[in-house]
Amino acid sequence: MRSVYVGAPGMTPFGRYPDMGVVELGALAAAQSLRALPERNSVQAAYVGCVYGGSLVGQRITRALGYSGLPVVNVENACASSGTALHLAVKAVASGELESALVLGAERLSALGRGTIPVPDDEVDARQGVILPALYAMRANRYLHETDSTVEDLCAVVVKNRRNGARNPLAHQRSMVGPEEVNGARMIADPLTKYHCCPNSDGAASVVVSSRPVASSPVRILASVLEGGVRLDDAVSLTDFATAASAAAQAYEQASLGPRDISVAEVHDAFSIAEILYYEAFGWAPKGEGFTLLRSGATQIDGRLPVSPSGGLLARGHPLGASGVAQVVEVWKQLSGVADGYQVESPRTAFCQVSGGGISGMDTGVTTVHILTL
Amino acid sequence: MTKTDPRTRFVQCEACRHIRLDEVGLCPECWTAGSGQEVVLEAIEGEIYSYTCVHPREGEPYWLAAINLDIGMRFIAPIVGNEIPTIGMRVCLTSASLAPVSEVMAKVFTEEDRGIV
Repeated sequence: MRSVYVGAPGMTPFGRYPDMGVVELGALAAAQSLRALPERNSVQAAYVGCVYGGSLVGQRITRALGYSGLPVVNVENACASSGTALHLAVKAVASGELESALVLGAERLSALGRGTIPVPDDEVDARQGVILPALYAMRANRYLHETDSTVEDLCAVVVKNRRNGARNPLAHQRSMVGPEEVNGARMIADPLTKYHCCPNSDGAASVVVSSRPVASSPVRILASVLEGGVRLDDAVSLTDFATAASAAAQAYEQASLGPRDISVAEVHDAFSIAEILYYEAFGWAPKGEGFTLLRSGATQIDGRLPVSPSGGLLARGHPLGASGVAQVVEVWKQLSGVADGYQVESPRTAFCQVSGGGISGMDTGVTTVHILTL
Repeated sequence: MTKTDPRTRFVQCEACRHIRLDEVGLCPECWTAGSGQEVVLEAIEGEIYSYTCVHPREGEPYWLAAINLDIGMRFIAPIVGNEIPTIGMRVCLTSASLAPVSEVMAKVFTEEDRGIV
């Protein structure tokens, strides 16, 4: 398999765009990527991740960009939609099927209104009164039961990521919050208040992957893994994130790296507890000690392993279909030293992970992990 | 007792005896088609693995529990009545007309249920 490079990042600010559609958002992000290329035909296909954009959303976006005859693959894989789109594009380039491709994620989540993302109503969990924050709240309560962690540790994730997001001009939530504000906010699913839950965002992000350096960028993708969700039986721990852990293990093997080689990470911190559990799932902390890694300061923006320096999903926002590629845009900036205002010190290797959940009887639906390096 | 949504019935496959939710009329273990034999909800017991209290923007808060059922699967159900769930508490499933959001709920075993009083 040959090397796959990534570059030409494009991204809209994340937030709420009541007057824009998903096609417009997607086209704005993609145009930023395409302007960095020598010519329109520098990409041979487009892979587009989106959850609620409707039929042929990728073709509608590329049509808006003036393309004719460009092969488009639309991907719906919940929150991992554009992570999956990236995986498919990487495999196509690595195998020699394509020389280069545009990878885009776009979503206008505010079109669904306020509140939590709906679980499909033909799912048993929906009939049982389950909402997504409740699934993570149950993970949190189990973790609090199993370890010496406290709700203050969950708050500390929010405070850290909101502080990071305040420095990121593209973040949805750009105000910092303190523990008292986090604890005192409206309860969603005990112990998670609204600040423990990522905002429903609109936005789009794009990159170009290629067999050659993209717009002179030396950033390469060392690993690209797509892992299917595991069924929840009574032996599966909700605090293990088994699917994500398996994806990470495969990614480390592909990249011939280990957990200690990662110098910056963007993870699927849709809820505060998730970030702590991912520390453990990805080998950055022993089982049951993720909260001690957080307490040590190691995952702060100036720590030895900054996690979610962009603000993560909790602050940068979570336009479902866009989040996977948005993470890659953010770590590309970090590796390239252009994350103005929130740059971590000299990162060499970056880790990105998104998971698509909300499916009854499974740990999660899908997880993608990408490892990038200079 | 209320009539349960057929997709939220627990059935036992007549071919391989696996107990499952009757979501699509197909056994996930042996792929035998057909609904199988319905299992009485109250016969399905388990232990609370975790829980939360959901606070809807509108409406009353309600308790949800993830239950490790003795049949080997994990199932999420609201808690009947005013019992506050805790991890490790024994429950059985039940069909309840007072359900705010569901037809299959978990009933916490009381001392009376256990024959202690």
